[in-house]
Amino acid sequence: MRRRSVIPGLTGSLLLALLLLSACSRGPSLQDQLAGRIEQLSRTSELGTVEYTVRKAVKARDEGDWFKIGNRRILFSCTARIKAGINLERVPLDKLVVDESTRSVSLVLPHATVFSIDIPPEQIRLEYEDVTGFRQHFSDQERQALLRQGEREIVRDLPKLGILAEAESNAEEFFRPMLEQMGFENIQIRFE
Amino acid sequence: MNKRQIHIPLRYALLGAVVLALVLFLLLHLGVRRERTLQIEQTATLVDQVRRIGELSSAGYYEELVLSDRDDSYLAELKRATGLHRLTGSDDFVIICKGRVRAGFDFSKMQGSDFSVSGDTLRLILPPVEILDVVINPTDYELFAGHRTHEETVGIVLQAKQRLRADAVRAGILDQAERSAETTLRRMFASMGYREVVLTFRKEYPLRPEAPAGR
Repeated sequence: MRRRSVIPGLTGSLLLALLLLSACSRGPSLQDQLAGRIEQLSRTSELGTVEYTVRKAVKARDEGDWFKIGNRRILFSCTARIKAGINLERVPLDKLVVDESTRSVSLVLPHATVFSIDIPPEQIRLEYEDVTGFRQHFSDQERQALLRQGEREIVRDLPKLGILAEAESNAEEFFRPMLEQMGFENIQIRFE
Repeated sequence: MNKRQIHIPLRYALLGAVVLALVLFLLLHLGVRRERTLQIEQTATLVDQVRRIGELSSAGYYEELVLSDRDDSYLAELKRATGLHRLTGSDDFVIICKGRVRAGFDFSKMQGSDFSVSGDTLRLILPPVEILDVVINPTDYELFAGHRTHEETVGIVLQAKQRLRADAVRAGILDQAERSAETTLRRMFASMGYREVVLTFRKEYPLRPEAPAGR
């Protein structure tokens, strides 16, 4: 008895399976599934008085475990622009003292805060990447996780940069000429 | 050579193969191919530039948006058409971003004549309202699906920033910035004793028409 070939049967089954899969895939597109957006418009009153531009090298070295053959190294350089200043909403206007007879004014300002940290994506550069042996290349998620750590380090280093003192000094220099132009001769500005 | 002598090495070879397979399975399971979470090394944050600014940010906009970069290669289209992407996975790249936009006024663009006081009347001409910052930092986006190079990811985040800026303007951030600045400045100057505060918002002037050619 001659054996019947199984190839035509298998091909037919495979085509049927592909057609079924194709029919199953006609659901809502990914964009439709993730279309929900959150938007919010808000009112602020932030007087930015200083901008710092800082640079940071983000580097990681992965020697791996004993059973892994090879190493991985990566180095990014990034630039961040940090703005700080005075929140005008928090200026205690009830503490503002004006004495027109002596042409004096006493203004109390809130302490400076950081308003924004901007790390422009085009200024995040992958400077070096080296993968040896049987190691995996750095994945998208790993690269991003490293950059996130770098961003957190910049935030952590902010108090050391002296940006808040500089912002308060600039705020004082911003208000003083304005008050002088208003006719005040004795001007007192302090931060609380 | 008898039958027993032939079977003993074969038995050892089979046992060796099973042990080797088990060791390979355990190593793979333990994570030979899996990479552990990396920690960055300590580096200094260096100050490059310090710039004095005078910016009143009077409106903010926050948006969470999704951007996808569809793989339009022939292979990807074929996989989509046949449904094979269900088995092999799609090559589309999807990123979820949280971005912030700040809008307001750059006081460094003011001239001396833009601020004047006369009796208890204060006149202030503010420079044109503008977008001050559009921020999407590494902690603000999540790679949801797909793989791209670092440079390609940067390009997609830049597209997200452009869309964020356009959405903020469409949502009325510039009008909101003018209204908020007016409220804040009136309140501040009124508390200094000015009965009348006249605020004028300068608008962006259109470009001058080009001089006729041949002159």
